[in-house]
Amino acid sequence: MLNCGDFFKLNYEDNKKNFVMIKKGGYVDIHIKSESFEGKNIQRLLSSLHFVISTYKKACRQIHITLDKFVPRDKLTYILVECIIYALTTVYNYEVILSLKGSRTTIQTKGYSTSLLREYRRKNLSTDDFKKSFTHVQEGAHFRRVITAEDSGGEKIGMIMGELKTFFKVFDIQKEYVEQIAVVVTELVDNCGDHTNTDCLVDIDVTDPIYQLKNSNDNSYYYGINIVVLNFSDKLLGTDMADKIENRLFAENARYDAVYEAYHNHMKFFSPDYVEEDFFNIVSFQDKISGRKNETNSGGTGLTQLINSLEKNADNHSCYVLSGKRGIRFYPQYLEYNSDKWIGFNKSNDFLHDRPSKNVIVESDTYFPGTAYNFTLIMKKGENDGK
Amino acid sequence: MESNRIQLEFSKTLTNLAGNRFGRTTFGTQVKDKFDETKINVAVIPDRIEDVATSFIQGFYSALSENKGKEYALKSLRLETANSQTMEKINFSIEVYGI
Repeated sequence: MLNCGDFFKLNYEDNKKNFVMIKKGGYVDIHIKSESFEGKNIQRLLSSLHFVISTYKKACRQIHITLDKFVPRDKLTYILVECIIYALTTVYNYEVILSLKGSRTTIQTKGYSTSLLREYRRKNLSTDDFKKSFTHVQEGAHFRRVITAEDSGGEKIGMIMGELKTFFKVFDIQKEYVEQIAVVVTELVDNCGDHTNTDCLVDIDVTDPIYQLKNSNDNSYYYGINIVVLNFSDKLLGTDMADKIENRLFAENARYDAVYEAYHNHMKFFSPDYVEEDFFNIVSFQDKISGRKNETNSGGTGLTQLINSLEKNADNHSCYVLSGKRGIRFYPQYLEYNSDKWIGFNKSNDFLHDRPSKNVIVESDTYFPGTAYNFTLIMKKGENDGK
Repeated sequence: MESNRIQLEFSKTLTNLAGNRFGRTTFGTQVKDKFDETKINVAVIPDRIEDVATSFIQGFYSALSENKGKEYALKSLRLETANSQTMEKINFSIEVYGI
């Protein structure tokens, strides 16, 4: 289940800041202070924890983690903390005492209020219950599943799609939109299992419909729908694609030839803020382009559908994908395929000849060993047609 | 041309079909050995299935498409259901996203 053991090692920095003293009785204290809680704080936490794991091993029995202030930047931020707790308790069998001070939420992080993390911190969940709930929650406005690679290859993935549709039925949102979300999330899970053969975590929370658009005459109320889909794998988002394109592992096909040519066009743009890895991440979202080795005629659909559905409903600031230390932000103004079905993630909407806009490229402080999507979608209340 | 109807079977509680690998497996285990090259093969999806994801459709057609081309695949093998809403979704998916 979720092979996140390497998460710590891959974020380790060998410096004094990460030194952690072991105290009498075999416990350690890790205290992260910050005004908010984001990538660099997660990296610091992971690095300190790796020091503990590799230095003290079983001499350490209990880890006290204090995060002060805990104002997570987005949903993925607090879900990653849950993954960290899960790895510490399940893979390394440590007892973890968690203290989260000064926590505050926004529309993107409202789900923290009903999260496993908060329940664990408040000691409402034993470690055993935390481990059980980590893989399955369906309560009110919170949906969580961990789908194994094996399950995602069989009928189970269709059942997940059905469970997602059922979950969304209670909200006053147009059926067409929630079905679209169910389909897109299902396709992302399928992508994950198919390309990496690893387990996939899905977590969705729906806020109360109390939000209104700023600077608008629209008096409607909106839900925030926060979604994380992630997997841990040594294969990153663009890994297979890079291999396929660089080594021309595709049958004769004009579209793949065009990507190969684009690769050479983009080489002149490569620099510290736009690297080859970013190019292949962008290629992953091109229509009819797949990283699967034996496929030339189809592919690229799951992510294409994602783009199409995000276009209208994505919140401007918190939709992105992260893989390794690089990622892509999904700004609505760049989420449109051109007439040739390419997506450039730039003003010219030209993938073949033009690099993506600077602000689209994510450079992360944390190394994420796998692929993680974070979305906040804004959906209008009062459009459930009940069909 | 004469048609060769092949009834697809799934667990009774399943109401949505999804997944590229599941599409490929379904073709491999339920259609491949019954496929007749001299006829139009019609794979019949049970009425209770409400939705068929694009990933399933693409996986389902992938073996045929990779071996003999998309045009042959679409001409010689059709997905069909008596559930009109589901049929509409299948047709839309094939038209917009292809196989």
